Amino acid sequence: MKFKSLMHKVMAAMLALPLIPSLAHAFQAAPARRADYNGWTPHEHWDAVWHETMLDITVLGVVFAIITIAFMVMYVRKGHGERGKLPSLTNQAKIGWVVIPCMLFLGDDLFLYVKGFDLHNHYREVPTNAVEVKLTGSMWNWNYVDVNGIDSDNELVVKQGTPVVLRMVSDDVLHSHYMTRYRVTEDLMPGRITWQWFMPDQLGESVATCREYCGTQHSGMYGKIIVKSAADYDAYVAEQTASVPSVTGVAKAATAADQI
Amino acid sequence: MNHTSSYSVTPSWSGLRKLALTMAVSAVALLGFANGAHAAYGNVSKDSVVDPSILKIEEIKFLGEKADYDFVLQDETGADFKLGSMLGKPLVLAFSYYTCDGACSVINKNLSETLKGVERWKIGQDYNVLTVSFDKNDTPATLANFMKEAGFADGLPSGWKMTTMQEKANIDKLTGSMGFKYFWSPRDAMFLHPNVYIMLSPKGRVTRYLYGGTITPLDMELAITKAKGEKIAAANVIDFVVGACYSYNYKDGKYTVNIPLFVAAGALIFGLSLIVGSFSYMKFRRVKHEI
Amino acid sequence: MSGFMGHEPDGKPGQPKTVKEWVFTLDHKVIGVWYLIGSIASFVVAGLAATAMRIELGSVGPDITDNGDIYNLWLTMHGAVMILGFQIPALLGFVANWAVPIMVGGKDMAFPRVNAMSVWLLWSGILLALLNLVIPDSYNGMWTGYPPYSLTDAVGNTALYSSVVIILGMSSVFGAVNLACTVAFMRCKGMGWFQMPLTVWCVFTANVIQLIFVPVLAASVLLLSMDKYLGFGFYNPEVGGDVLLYQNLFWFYSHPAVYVILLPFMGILFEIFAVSARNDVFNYKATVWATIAFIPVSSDVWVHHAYVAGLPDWLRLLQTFTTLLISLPFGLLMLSLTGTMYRGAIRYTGPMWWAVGAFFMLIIGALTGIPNALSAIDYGISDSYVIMSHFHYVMAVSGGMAIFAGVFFWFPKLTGRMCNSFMTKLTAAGFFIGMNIVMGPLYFAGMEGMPRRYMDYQMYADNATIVSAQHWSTIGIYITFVSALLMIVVWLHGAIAGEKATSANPWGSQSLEFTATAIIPGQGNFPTPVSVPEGWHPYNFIDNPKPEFEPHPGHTGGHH
Repeated sequence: MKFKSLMHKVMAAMLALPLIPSLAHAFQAAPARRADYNGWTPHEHWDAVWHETMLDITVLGVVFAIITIAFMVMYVRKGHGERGKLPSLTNQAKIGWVVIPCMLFLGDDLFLYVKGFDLHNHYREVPTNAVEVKLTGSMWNWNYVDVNGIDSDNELVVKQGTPVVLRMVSDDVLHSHYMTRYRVTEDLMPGRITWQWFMPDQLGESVATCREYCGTQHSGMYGKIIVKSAADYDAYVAEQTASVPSVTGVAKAATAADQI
Repeated sequence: MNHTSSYSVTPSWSGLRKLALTMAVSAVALLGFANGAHAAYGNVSKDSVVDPSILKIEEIKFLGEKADYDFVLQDETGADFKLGSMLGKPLVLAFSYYTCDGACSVINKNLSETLKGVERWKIGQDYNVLTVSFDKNDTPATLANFMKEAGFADGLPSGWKMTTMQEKANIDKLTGSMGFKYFWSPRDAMFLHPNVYIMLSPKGRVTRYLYGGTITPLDMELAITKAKGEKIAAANVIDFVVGACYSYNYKDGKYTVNIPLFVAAGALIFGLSLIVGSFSYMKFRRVKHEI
Repeated sequence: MSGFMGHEPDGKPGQPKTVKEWVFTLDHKVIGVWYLIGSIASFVVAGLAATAMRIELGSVGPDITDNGDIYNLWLTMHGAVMILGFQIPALLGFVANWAVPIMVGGKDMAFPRVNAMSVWLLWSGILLALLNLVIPDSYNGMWTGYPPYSLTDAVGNTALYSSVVIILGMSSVFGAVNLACTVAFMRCKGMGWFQMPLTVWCVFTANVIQLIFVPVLAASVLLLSMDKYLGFGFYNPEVGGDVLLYQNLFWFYSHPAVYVILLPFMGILFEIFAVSARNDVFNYKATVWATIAFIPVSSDVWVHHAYVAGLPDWLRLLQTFTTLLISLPFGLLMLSLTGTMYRGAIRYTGPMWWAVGAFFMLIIGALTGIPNALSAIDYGISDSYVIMSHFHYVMAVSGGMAIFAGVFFWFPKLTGRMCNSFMTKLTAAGFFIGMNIVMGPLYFAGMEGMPRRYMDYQMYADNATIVSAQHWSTIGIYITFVSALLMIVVWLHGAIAGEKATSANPWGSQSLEFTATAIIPGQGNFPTPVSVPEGWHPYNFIDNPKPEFEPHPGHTGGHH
């Protein structure tokens, strides 16, 4: 009897398990206001959450597999006619074997959820100093137009250390702009505006590919993101804008009006 | 509208012609230039070389564009204030000019009528309205005069401001950033411009262009609901559901009912009724057998 | 019931003799065999497409084709035929039709004529799908058929896609009504809801899911064709359509469809585990409730297929959470499977080898699903090989192995002969190893960024991980291919020249399809109307006095 009431207490305590990760999270500074996400860029943050998740599922999987393998080896049939001897569960045990595992899973789910929530906010809150680049997808081409009016296909040059937000739309079918290095994907659709942002933190080139099936040359729809240092970037902009004078729509209309 | 007489312009003809031209341009430029647009324009003035398509807003290019917070505007008393102060709620932005004797007052009157029909959202509380003049020659005086003509002699509802801008460069920057085109037609002594309301999100991004003359209060309500989008939380699920029932129709410039959603809901009910139906059939049959 | 081709249910062994009898049969077992043949034929076609694609991807640049349209046709056929032609018909056709009515002690399905219509709808759907390989404007829009691409001319014949989906959908809906009624009303005397084998529970739940959600898919696909050919513009944003709506409707069905496949194949695993371990299923009632819990849980998770499709942020976060909740009922099912081994007396028969393989692959498949549930993680791996590898572990490796385990398990009841035991185990090992070499490395290629549905990966040519993963994966496909081929040979050999089954119950099951029937169940299934005594349970191996391996006539209705 004494043991039974102890069991009740243990089971009740297990109900609180899922709260632990949530509370632990709540005791940290509110994530969205945590100064610059520990200095992480979203893709570094992504890597951190990814590794934690991988560790989590690896431990779960290995433990589970080891237990099962142990059972499979220990309980091989010894002789003809032998039968399984699974003890029949008391009602209390039956409920316990539902509630406790569920609370453990829920605890782990919540733990991962708060990690994911934090990362999600990091991805979806654009820094105020981000420069905007317009990206138009079409079969099978990426067209980038940056704030300087530099219009280029399948190649985007950005300045190191300045966050970039891509404002995206598709000309024809669905596309999805994925940047390998920056770990961010978002679909492009006709008639709807979507966006993604990234922080070009290191010099060099990386790949941007299409990740939504878009026809024959889907696998041929890829481009480069080139990160240049501030000086190189300024030189690049100067060179590009000198050769291609930018004319805005307004200027065009005004010119037309003046001719009338 | 007798365009053959356009060579012998009398003052009265001139006024009529202006009005006709304004209406035509409004009707055309603003309907997205579907079929017949050129024909309509041609009826008004064959000899004109104005191509209304230059007024067309390239919506896809400008949707999602962000308005600059720092523009300084003057209201009818001449006081300065920043565009940013109107944001934080969805903002309905209308471009007009105040010496206009045709469509501009109509634009604002219609807007006022349309907004009165929006019951879900309250002006000033849920959203703001801003009329900006793109004519640098407009002054608080012309604005005050305009307000009288447009039927706002008693003042504007709270949450609605009418303003002027005095720097041509800034006007071009603001209109240009939203793809709004206009030009002065010396021949007609008037500005040609689209009759459009631009819906801005609380953070100042363009979420929708709505064309005057074609929209209903429902379109306006949906546009405001969708502009609020960023702020919609699970608590406002009904707004989200209502929003999901409609989608924007670029051709007609209106919201249309999202038919597949209802077909799918019907299909879901069909599936559920299959379960109920077949079970009750079996139950019924079984009872009969047992008797 | 009038569904026995004029014969009284006499329980005579044997199957229809003439072609006419085979085709016009109303016997659920023969219909089940037709489902099986159709699904294995689909497996062969879709498997060949997979092999061709895998060889093409073996190295950077064209290997066997440089034509994107041909590759996309293979890919479309692979996905659509594997899911709609192989897995669903094998589980909700073969298992549901052949095994379930006997397992609940019924004479046949509730509506035999509807049943015959379902199977022939399936066959016409499969034949129509195969037509896609020969028509000039073949459909290449993938099994998902997202507009606006599926509304363009480049996609090919969208009408064919819609027709196949609608025909197979009708087949599924009729089949589901039939099976749900069979389970609800055709159970033999004495069998209560909580005395049904878990296979029956899983198939029943899967069919309820089908009934609720298939009409939604059929409607949205029908609108797709109306859009393309009649210009309605339901999905065309230019004229007020919603380009995103199709994705939402499609996955509103198609994520539950994953459980339509998962649940029945886990049902097979429960059956084989319990019978091989000669042990009760651990926490049976909780397992049943966990199975039922999949219906509500699966209905609210579809957005995780569209995390990157511009939907509102709060919706993404909400469905991240509901998606994670799947781990609760699923975890209970896995716990029950492992618990069934505890203190068992496990005998490693041929079907058990396949089932054990399926079980371990399900651990990998399920756990690799957890990161995908997080919307933020999905931004980095959406539509990459990580996703592809995950769902192949669940559906292809685990699901495939479980289906084949089921075929080997019921094989003696279908043919009256046994498959070669050694070859069964050898092919199981070959398939297991082969599929792991195919899918394992691709997970790491996905982490490096390799996207799905690519015929080439020129942009990653200098990424050693991706290149070598693709290389190894292609080596794996040869092992898989040989094993699968060998498996089919083992079946054919078993059916024609296999050792004759000496017992009606070769695995020592407690379930009615083994204990109460002839070696090959005849028409009407049971020699005499069957009933189960009070307290009977399909997994009660301990209290059952009957010896192992001995054929016995079963409970012959003495208890009512």
